[in-house]
Amino acid sequence: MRGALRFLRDGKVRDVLWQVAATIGMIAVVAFFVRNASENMVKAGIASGFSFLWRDSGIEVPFNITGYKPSDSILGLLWTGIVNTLLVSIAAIVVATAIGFSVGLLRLSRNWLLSTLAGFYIEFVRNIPLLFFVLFWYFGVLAALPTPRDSMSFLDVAFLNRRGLSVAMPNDVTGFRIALLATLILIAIQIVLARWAKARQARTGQAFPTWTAGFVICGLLPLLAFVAAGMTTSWDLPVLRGFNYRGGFVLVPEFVALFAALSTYTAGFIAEVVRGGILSVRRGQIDAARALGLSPGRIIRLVMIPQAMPVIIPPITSQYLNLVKNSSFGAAIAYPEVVAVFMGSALVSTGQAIEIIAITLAIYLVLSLAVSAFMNWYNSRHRLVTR
Amino acid sequence: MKIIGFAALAVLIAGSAVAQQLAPSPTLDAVKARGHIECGVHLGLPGFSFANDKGEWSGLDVDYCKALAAAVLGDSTKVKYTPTSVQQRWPVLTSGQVDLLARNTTITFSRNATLGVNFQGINFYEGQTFVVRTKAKVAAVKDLADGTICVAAGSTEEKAAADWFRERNLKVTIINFQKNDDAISAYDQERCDAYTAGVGALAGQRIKFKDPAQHQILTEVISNDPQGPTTRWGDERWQLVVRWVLNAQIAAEALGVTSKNVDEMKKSTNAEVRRLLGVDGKFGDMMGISNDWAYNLIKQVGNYGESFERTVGMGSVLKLKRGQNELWTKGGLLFTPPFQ
Amino acid sequence: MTKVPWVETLRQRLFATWWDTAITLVCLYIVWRISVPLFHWLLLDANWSGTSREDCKSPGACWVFVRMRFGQFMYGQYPVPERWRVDLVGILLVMSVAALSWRRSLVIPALIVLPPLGVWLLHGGWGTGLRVVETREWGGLMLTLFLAIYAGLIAIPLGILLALGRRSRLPLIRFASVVFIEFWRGVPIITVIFLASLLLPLIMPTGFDVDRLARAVIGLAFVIAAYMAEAVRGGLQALPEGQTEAAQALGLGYWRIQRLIVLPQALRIALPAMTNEFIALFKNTTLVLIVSIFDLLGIAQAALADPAWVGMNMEAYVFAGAIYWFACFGLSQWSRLREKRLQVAHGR
Repeated sequence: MRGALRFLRDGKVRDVLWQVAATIGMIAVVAFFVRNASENMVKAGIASGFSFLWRDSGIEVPFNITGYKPSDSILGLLWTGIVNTLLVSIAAIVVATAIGFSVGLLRLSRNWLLSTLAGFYIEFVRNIPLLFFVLFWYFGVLAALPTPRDSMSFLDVAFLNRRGLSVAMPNDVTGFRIALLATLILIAIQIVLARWAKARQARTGQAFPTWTAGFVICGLLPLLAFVAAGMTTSWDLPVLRGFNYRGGFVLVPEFVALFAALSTYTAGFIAEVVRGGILSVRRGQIDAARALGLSPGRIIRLVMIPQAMPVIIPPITSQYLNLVKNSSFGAAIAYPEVVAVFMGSALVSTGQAIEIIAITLAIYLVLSLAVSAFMNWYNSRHRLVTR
Repeated sequence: MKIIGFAALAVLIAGSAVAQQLAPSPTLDAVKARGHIECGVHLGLPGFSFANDKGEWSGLDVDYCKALAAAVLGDSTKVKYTPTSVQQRWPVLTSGQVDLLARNTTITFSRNATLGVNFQGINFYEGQTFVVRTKAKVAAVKDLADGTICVAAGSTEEKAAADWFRERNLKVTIINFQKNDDAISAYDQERCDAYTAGVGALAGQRIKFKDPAQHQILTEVISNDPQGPTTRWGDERWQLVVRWVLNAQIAAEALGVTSKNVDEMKKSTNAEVRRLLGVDGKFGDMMGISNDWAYNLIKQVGNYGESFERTVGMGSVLKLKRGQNELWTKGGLLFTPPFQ
Repeated sequence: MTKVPWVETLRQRLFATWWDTAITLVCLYIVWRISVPLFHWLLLDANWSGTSREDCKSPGACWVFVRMRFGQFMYGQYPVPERWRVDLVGILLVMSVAALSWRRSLVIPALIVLPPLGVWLLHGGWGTGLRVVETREWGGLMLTLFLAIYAGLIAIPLGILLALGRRSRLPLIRFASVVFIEFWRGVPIITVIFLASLLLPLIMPTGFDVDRLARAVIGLAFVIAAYMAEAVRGGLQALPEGQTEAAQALGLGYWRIQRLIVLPQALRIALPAMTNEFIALFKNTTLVLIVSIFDLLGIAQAALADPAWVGMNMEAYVFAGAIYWFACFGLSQWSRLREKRLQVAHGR
């Protein structure tokens, strides 16, 4: 008896026992839920399994770039939802970062009025639920736009109204594919050039106008290629037929509202991150840079940002992740992202709650892991080398 | 359960049944023990199920729930309502959070076959149509070609509208909202050219528009959407009660029994009336509820016709005509098997 | 030329250079253009008296709507004669918070006694002799606060345990904590609320019904617990390793070290981060409206669906939004104050 007790006192044995107990407990809980679920589903006569994914969906998706049709399978519907989620997330991440960095820098402006306004923006955005923004942008934007008959026209190739922004699309995209390829090649050349210039500067101390050169080869040449491609193809112009503009590509107001809400909201959080990161750069660094006679723009670009980045990146990653997850708010305004089309429409038409919820959760987990993996990689590359 | 059924049959055949053996009914037992019915209704559809600012519910579907409570518990006020959205309704029903749904839900094959739900009759023959702005000058549904239509996601209307236009090779854009009210306000903001729903539902939802006078409901109907109380699979005796309470509402109208004359009708010489009102036949016992079940529901809630007039008919703001929802004897589709 | 001090400050901060002057003027113009119409709409041209939509004649906001619906915005469909119970719970809440900041030792007993007392008072029945008010009748601000506070009460202890678990020596415990934390942090709250409301009834034994509101509280609590765990972990990591080692040298066991040495210090450091997570939770309670629970925003939307008050969108959203804003802003200011005090205390 005493021996057994002493045996329990041993730290390692106790560690093992703790873990075994915890594992058994968790397995028991999961098994309990699974058993109930299968029992309840059989009793309720609810179909189960994943075969529903290959059934015809019959659900209309007004905004898709995947070429999805209602006669496609539910799997196709899911894919369209994922693409739409990524589309709005990526667009919003880019713009939120731009607004966030600007507001964060403005918050530190010497001009008192400017920094106060930036502060107002940050405090306003951070303390109101996102759902308000989504609804505000949606109904606010709708109310502000004209009806199709009184559309705003931009040179007769783009029309803006309550049904969205209709933009002319080329009928033949081959020229654009070539131009896009050319752009990618030029960007690659530009990167190589920048590396070479950096190495040369390190070696000889001579600066090379990378940006100017880069602009000429990376900006102007592809632009010309695109213009050439545009000249050679015919265009599918939006035309007012009956109620709406038909033809061309339509950017729906749901996308615009969700995109605007996500980017303005997340920008408030990014601004705070940026401000914190810049404040963490030691004062002496900036003074030293100034003493060397660097211009304010170069101080920001060469001294402040590189040193603030390691502080900024981890929290900004979690903001990006939040943004991706928050794109699910699109369900509230009929933007066809994953939650709306899959957890909404597909769930109601098939009734297979467990399978659909599991798939949706898995998709978000994969997205989250992908973003954090990318950011970890970026972070490890750009970590400040300290002595 | 089958064994018990056979046993009951054997007892009956032996002719020695003093107290009737009934199949067990967990739902009915739960309702009696809890003292009220849990009724799943629409989030808010004037005329069918709608709560006013004091939280009092009214409407045709709500009346059905009240009738059920009067029949089972003897008191039409013993109902509690769970508002459900289009998405929530099935899990809420199949997981047992409500005893039944009475919420403008269209009966379809795939719902019956795969969702684990059963439909217990039809209390409203709905037909799908569209509401458009008067200034849009739309006379028929086909004029909506190239238009944009707002609809509640996961509803039968979503698919029916898509099918209708596709069949005719017409192109429309359909925007799916998670809730009816969201679709309505988006339509009202001119995001869409039309909003689609049933004729009855539209008559109720129309009053939610900023200016109802500027909208027009098309007379053309593109699909039939029979609707009625819905139960989950299993518990046949509960399904029996749900089905025959609806039949009793309809039979009462056909037999001329109203909430006003129900007491006199007890003295009626019509055999079916006497069985319905529990004077003869002990029909309540057979279902496991009191014999004056139909008397109670007619007395407290009224027959189908009374309920219809009060909630969606001429006595209401919706002003719907009986149309298909008239008795089969008067040219409608409303029908009940006999109380024999 | 003598320099007036405040004019000089103003000159330096707003008109230091030509460029600054231009920016200041542009900003002033924008502020003017936005704030004047807003001020008119909100106050000057607003309608305050009357009882119906027809009484709102001037072009500004129709605050009559908010006034008539005020009871619902606050209490939802909670029966009017019973609303004193909500007020009482509110007063108890404020008093207990005040009492706790005065005497810390009361925290644990208060946490054991008060939350059940609150539910008991609000719900009634269970031997109180009070009328039962079911959760489906709760709504408005009261429901929002209930969701946030009770989800927070579950999330904080759970989050602390998870944070300890993540730093545990035992690989299995650590693994389980990491999986739990990363799972709930990786999925959107909207899906969690769906999950809680659709899946929970399915995985429970038949006849065991979890209340609709309780399901939402559990769902929110799990997500916030995962975030809280990360906030607490930040606090734990900030503690020097020597603290634990010294305690171990004194012969203290694991739980006593955590309770007496590590957690009091770590939580103090983690408090600002935890407050931020609580603010996030408070904002995210708005999502319960997708499962037909009528929180403040939900009740506002329901009021908009009332045919008698069509077109009051701005009023409803501005009113509800202002409540959220003041609550969140107040909390974040409090947390910043704590953070500053902490920095002073640490001599930084």
